[in-house]
Amino acid sequence: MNPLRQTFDEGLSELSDQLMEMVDRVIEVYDNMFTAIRTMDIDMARDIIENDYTINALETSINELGNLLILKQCPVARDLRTIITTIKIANELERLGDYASNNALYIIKTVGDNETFRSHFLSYVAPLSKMFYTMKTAIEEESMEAAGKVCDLDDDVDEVYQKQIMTFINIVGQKESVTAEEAARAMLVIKQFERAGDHLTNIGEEIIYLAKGERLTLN
Amino acid sequence: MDTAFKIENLKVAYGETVALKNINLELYPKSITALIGPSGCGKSTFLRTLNRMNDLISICSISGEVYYHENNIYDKQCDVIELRKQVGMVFQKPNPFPMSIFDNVAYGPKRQGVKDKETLKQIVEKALKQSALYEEVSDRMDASALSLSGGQQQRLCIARALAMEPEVILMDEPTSALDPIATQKIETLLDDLKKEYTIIIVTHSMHQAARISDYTAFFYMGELIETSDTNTLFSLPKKKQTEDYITGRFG
Repeated sequence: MNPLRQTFDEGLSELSDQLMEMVDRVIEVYDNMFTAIRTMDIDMARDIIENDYTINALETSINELGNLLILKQCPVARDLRTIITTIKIANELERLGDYASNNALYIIKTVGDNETFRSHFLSYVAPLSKMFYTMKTAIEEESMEAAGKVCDLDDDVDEVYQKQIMTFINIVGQKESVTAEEAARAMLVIKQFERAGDHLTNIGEEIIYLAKGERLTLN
Repeated sequence: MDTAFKIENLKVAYGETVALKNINLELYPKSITALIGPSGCGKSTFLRTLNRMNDLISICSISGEVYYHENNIYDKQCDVIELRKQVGMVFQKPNPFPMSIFDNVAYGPKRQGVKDKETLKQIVEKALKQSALYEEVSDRMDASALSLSGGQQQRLCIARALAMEPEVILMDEPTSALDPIATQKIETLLDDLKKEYTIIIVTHSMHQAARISDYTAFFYMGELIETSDTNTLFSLPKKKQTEDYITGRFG
């Protein structure tokens, strides 16, 4: 292989490694976030917030390397799509990291709140975890099938979200011990879960674009 | 869609060496088609078949059909002089004649029998304006063409081709000997010229092909591997060979 192409391939490989590191980091953050919700572990929640910068730093690094590869290698065809989709996926992952931080902050700020809502948050563990791990497979294998599945799984998250909105409204009406402020805060939390599903779907769409070269809107 | 050229089962050989194998391709009017591929793939040979420049090579043998509009240019009845008047050519290295700027551009029309000085002046002026050179040379039309810079010489050669009022301009790596600024001027010029002319360009620069052409044809080892509109070929090539070539995996 020509040496310049080899240098380019090494750059693409580095980009891919950084993306997978970011994927693993975000998955770990969500696992920790749900554990913190379950156990009301304030320290763990604080760690999530304090370490969010590592996810942001990876996104910056991916952007810089991607820009450099475009600048120096003038990529076309799949090479160009690989770089563009990696940059876009990194952006989605960064947002996912932010949502986890926001929810970790909720855990810290609501230690004394009524626990009624908190138990509902764990309903997102199963559908979101499934989406995260399928997303990882889709990226690792550049699999259109897995990417399509990620998009399909978002329906499960949306379904939980829609049901919980009504449940939360009813709880406020039925339980005197629950304040409207607590309900509003809890609504913000589940909105972040619902948005997390949307961002994962966006990642699925990016993988499909990488594989097919066509933009599909599955969100 | 209208076609300027329709090529059917074209085969070209130099003695025993096959240069082009069974090429089928349509070239569209008032657009730029880029021919890309590694050295020796047959793209320049293909370009030269379009105005029968290969006739000048004694060992070259050609079979198949090359229709320019409705007429097969390899028919015995084809007027090759008239064909080359309609299908002009610009070469890799600027090759101005050792004469004045004016005479370079007027050379073709004069050979075609235009004698009236005012008419010649109009032809030269128009061609130089079309090639975006007029403003740079209007005050020194009698100066030697060899005194011009490389980029200016190449635009002069384009003006010389345009003076014959062709319909098609064939270009064999017209910017490979030029610096980036001169290259940019030629590319801008081509983008303008395609409104009136059909341009077929051989280029080794993939990015030049992507930048300026409407259609791209990829040749490899004498075969036409893939052709499509340029956006598609450079974003979603159908053949692996094409993808490997444009992404620098071989060649």
